[in-house]
Amino acid sequence: MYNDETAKRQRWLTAIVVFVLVAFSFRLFYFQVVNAEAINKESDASMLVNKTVKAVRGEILDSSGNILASTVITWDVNIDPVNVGPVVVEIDGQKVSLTKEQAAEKLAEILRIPVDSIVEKMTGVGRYANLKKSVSASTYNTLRALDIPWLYFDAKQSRHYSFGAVAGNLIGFVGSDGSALAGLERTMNSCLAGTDGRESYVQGADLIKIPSSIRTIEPVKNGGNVVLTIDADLQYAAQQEMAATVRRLNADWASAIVIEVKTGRILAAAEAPSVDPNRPGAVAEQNRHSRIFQTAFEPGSILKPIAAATAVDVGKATPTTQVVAPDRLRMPWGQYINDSENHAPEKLTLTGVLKNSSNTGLVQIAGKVDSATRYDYMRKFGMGEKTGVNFEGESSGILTDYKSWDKMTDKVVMFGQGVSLTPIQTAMIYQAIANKGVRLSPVLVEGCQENNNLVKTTVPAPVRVISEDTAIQTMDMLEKVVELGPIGKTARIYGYRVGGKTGTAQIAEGSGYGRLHAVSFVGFAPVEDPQFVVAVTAYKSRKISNSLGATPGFVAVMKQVLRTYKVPPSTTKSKKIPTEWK
Amino acid sequence: MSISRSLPLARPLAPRRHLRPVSSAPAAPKVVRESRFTVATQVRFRIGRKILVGLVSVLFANLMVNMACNQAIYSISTLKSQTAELATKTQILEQQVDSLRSPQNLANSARSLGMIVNSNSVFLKVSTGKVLGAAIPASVSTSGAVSSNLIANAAMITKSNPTKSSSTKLDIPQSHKVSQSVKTSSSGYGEVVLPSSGIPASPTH
Repeated sequence: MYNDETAKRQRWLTAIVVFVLVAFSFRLFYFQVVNAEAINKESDASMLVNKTVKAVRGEILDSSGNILASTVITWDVNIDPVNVGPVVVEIDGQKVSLTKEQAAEKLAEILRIPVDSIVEKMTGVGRYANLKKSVSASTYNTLRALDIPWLYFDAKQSRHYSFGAVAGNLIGFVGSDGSALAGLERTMNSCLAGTDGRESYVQGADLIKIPSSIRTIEPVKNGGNVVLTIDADLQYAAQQEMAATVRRLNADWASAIVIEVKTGRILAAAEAPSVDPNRPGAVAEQNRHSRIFQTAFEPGSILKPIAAATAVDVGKATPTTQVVAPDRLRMPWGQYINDSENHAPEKLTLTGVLKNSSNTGLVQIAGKVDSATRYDYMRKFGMGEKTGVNFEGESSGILTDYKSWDKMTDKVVMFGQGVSLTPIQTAMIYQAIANKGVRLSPVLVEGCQENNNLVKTTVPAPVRVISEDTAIQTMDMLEKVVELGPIGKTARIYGYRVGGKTGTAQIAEGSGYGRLHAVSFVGFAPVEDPQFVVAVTAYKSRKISNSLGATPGFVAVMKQVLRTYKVPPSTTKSKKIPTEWK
Repeated sequence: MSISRSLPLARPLAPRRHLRPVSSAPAAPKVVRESRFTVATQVRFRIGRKILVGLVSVLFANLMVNMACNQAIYSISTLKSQTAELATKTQILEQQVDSLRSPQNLANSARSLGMIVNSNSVFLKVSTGKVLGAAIPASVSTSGAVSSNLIANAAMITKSNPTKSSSTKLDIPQSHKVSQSVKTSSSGYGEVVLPSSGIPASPTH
C-alpha cells in the first residue's frame, strides 16, 4: 500500500517535472527560434559593440633612421557643463577645495588658454564642451591627477614631428582630422596611411570588454614607414644657414639643396622661412609648401654652363675659344644685349666668359650652335619637365619650343632668361655636369618600409646629356669661376677644389622685370672627383643684388657637407686654362 | 534467493516495520513482486542521485569558471588600464628624449657651452701615413661660434640646461695622452671664457 502510494507520488512528481520541463522547452523554443532574431537584435544593441580599429599611420624617417614624423596619442579635454561645480583636488599631495572659478583658473594655467573661455563654457547647459584639442601626454597626466569629476578626455591619434621645422617643408603636415594635407604626408599617403580594421565585442554593463567575445571583422593594417634620403643633421645645418641668409639679405626666401652626385640622392633640401608641421598655421600660407620643387623662376647666369657645354659638346667651341666681349652687343635687328656692368671690350676665352659671366661673350660663342640643337640639349638637361622626384605639385618650369622663340629669346635663353626652372632642376643640371655628363633623377624618398621590408622608389633611367670629355672640360671651366672669378672666388673652400657658377637673375614682374633679384650660386666639390652639388638661392634679396649674397651660404653648407661625409681635401691642382687672350 | 538475502543490506527501511519470523521457504510471489519494485526504485534513485550530483557539480563548476572568468576580465581590464598609463608615461619620456636630441636643443646647448665649429678637417691616410689638410684652429673669427637656433620646433617640450650639469673632469693618464703630430698654428685665443660660471670651458677648439 505504501509502495503504491510512493509510486503514485513519484509519478505525479515526474509528471509535474516533465510538464514544467516541456513548458520551459516551449518557452525556450520560442526565445531561441521563434523570437530569436528580435531578441538578438535587442541584445546586440545593448551589449554588442562594433568598433573601427584605427590603423596607426607610419613614420617618416631620415636616412639615419631619425624619426621626423610619428603617430602619438593626444587627448581632447572636455567638460560636462551640467555637472560643473566645486571640487576637491589633490595638488602636491594635499587635498585642496576649489570653487568653480578657482578650478577654471587652474585649468587655464595648465592648458594655457584664457580663463574667461573656460568660465564661459562652464556655464553651458549641455553635457559636452571642449576646452582644448590634442593636448600632450604630460598635460593629460597633469589634468588627470586633479581627478575633477566633470572633466573628461577623448584619446585620439595625432602626428608628432619631433624635429619641428627640420625638413618641415618637405614632410608637410596633416589636418586635425588626421587627413594628409601637404608635402610627403600627402604624396606618400598610400604608404603611410594603412587600412582601418573592424571588430565587434560584447560590453558588460560596466563597459568592460568581454575578452572571449572579441571578433575581428576586418583586420587592421598599420601604415608603412617612409624612408627619406634626407640627412636630418645636414638638413638642420642648411636650414640654419638659409634662415641666417634670409635675415642677412632681407630676402623673401632662401633655399639650399645638397645632392649626392653619383646617386642623385637629395641629402638636404632646406628652405627659409620653414614650416613647423606641429603648427603649420604659425607661418603664412606661402611658406607652407616646398619652393624647391614647386616654384619656378628665371635662373639667370646660373644657366650659362649649359650653353657653354652644348657648344663644346657639338664641337663649336673649346674652353679656350676666343671672343671679344663688349659690355653692350648690338644685335643685327637693332636690339642690344648687355653685361651686368659697364666695361671696356674684353678679350676672353670661353672659360673667361664663364668666369666673368659675360652675356655678350657667351651669345657670340654659344650662338654658333643652332637653336634646335641648343633646345635639345636644354631638354636633355631636364628643363621643361618634372624631375621625376614625385613630389606633390612639382613644377616642370617653362621651356617653350625653340620654334616659338623670337630673335631675342633665342639669345637670352643662353644666359637664363625667357625660361624658368625650379631650384631642384637647376641643381640637377649641375649634378649631370659633375656626374661626367649623366643626369640622374633626384631621389628624395628611399622607399616605403613595411614589416622591415624596404620597397625602393623606382626612378627614371639616367640620361647621358653630354660626353664625359665635355663634362670634364665644363667642370674645369667652372673651377676657374671659383678660382679667379670676381664673385666666384668668394665661394672658395680652403683645401678643396671647388667648381661652380654665380647667377643674378632679374625677376619678372608684370610685363617687365622688377628691381629685386634672385641671387644664386651652384657648385660642386671636389672637382677632381665630384661628390656633392650644393645649390643656394636667395630670392628678392634687398641687401645684396648679386651672387655675393649666395656664396657665404654655399660655402657654409658645402663645408658642412664635406665635414659630415668626411671628404678628404684635394691633393691635385686645377688645370691651367687661359681666361683671356692677347 | 540471493536477492532476498541482500535486501536488508540494500534497503533497510522498507521491511523494518513488518518484522516477523521468516521461513526459509521460498518467498511468496507478492514478496518477490515487492522486492523487484523496490530494487528498481533503488536503482532509479541511485541513477537519479548520481545525475543530480553530476548536475550540481557541473553547475558548481560552471559557477566557479564563470567567477574565474569574471575575475580575469576585470584583471585584464585593470592591466589594460595600467598598460595605457605606462604607454602614456613612455610617450612622455620619449618626447622628452626627442626634445633633448633634437638639433634645435643641441644647437642651443652647444652655443651655451661656447662650442665652435671645426673649420678645417684634417685627415690621416692610414695606408701612407700622410696628413691631408691643414689643421687650423677654429675660432670665432674664422668660422664663428655655433649660431643660436633659428628653426622652430613646437614639439620641443624639454630643453637641456648645460649650466646646471656638473662639470666632468677627464682624468687621462699621462701615458694615454697623444703627442701632437699635426703642426698647428697658434690661434691667438686662450680658453673660451663663458659668461656663466661653472661651465667646463674646453681649451680645445
